[in-house]
Amino acid sequence: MTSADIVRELQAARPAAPHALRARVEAIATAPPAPSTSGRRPPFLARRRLLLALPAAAAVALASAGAIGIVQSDAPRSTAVAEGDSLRSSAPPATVTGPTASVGAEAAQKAAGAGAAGGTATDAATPGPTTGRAQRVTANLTLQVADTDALSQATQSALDTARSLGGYVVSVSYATGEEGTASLTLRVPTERVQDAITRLSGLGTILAQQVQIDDLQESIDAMSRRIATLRERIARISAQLTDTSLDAETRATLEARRRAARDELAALTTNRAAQKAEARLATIQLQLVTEQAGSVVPGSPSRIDRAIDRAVEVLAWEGIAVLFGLVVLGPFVLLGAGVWGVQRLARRREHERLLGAS
Amino acid sequence: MHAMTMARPATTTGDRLTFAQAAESHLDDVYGYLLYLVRNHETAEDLAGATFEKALRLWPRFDSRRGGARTWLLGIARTTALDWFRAESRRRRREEAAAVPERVEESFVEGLSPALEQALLTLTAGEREVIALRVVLELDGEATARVLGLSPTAVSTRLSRALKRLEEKVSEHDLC
Repeated sequence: MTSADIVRELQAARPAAPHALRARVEAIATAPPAPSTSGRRPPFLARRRLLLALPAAAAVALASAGAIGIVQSDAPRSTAVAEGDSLRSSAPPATVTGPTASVGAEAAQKAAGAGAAGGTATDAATPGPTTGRAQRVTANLTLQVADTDALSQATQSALDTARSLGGYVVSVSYATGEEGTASLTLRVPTERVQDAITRLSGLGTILAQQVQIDDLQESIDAMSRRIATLRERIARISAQLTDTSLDAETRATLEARRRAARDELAALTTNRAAQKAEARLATIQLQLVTEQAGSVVPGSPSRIDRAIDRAVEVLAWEGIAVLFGLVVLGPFVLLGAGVWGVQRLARRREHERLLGAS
Repeated sequence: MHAMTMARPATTTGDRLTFAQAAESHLDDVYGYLLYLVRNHETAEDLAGATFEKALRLWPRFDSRRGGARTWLLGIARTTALDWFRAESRRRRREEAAAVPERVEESFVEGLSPALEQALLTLTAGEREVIALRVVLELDGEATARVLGLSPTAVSTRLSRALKRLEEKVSEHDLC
């Protein structure tokens, strides 16, 4: 008998359910269905829900990022006005007691609509030197003017301002073309530096401003104490040298000491004078640019740009949160999958054993 | 083949297949499959009844898009049979000393030649079930694989071996 014969015979003798079983199954099928007590969702439904949940979650993430972006685009977080405000709030008090104080500001008041009012802001923002203390004051100011005519006028006004305040011009670099620029280095008496900055700020729109104050008083005081000590030492050595009973060797040693003290005294005196001179005059670096040259300052982003930026930021945070969740839950998921796989394999082997033994 | 008329369906979902319809259509298949597995009419009837009781409870979870009702019912029948085999295995171990004879009928399928019937008795349940599904019930490879939880290739291999073994046993019987 071949396999084909066997198949034919098996198919011809296909078993049929007996009447008793048929009646039993009929009774089962017509009985009212028992209420489900497990309450468990079918696995395929859970999988289908998961398949729906993933794109839904992605859509919610995108929608929330978009909504947050649109809502928060009303309030720009880093505009020129805010920077101007930070300039005021971050300015130290008028009395600077530390060795160094520095204030910087990027102000695009044109974009913020502040215009020439920047000069007023500077009054409050610029820290002034402390009266009675020697301080090195350095100010950097970048102003924007309308055109080359205004540039010329502003340059001349800056020179006049420096002179009128008792200062002088160290250097001037003036260039015109498509975009005009002028670089001036001015020195004005330190006590009038605030006045100078205020007046210079009025020459155009402030694009950038930095004021640095270095306290020199401590160094000058230390040098003064050293000078006094050296003078006392020189006087004492000179008195010793008036003694005629000194031997030649001692006299030579004392004279060498007095010479060294005098040399140090001379150097210190010169250095102290230089520092006092430096403290008397403040240095102002003034940069004037025409509007074209000043366009390097980026304009305020539009509301759409802000909304997109914020939405991207929110999406990035959402991505970070998802990644964090995956990193944290990943090992547990892998472990669960491993346990499930092992159980499935064990169950299949058990089935094979049961069916192989019968 | 017996005709069965159900009084009313247990579940009515419009044009969808009802449990009563599924039971009526596939009762012979479920019974035949179980009979080949357990080689005993009485046990096969009990297991078929248990299968349909279980299937009625699970019917709300049945999704025809994931496979036909026959495959689904045969899967439940297989689980029921495996539970029975497990219980039988435990019982046999317990009663081994008493040497209780296995409830196997010499002629569990009517209409087969004695040689083929004897040869079937020598096969394992695993071999008999693949023959029942692929040959007797004429399920395709995919459906059989779904019922057995195997790949179609594995089903094909298993069927080929079972038929070869069956052929050998029948030949041996003929020679005797």
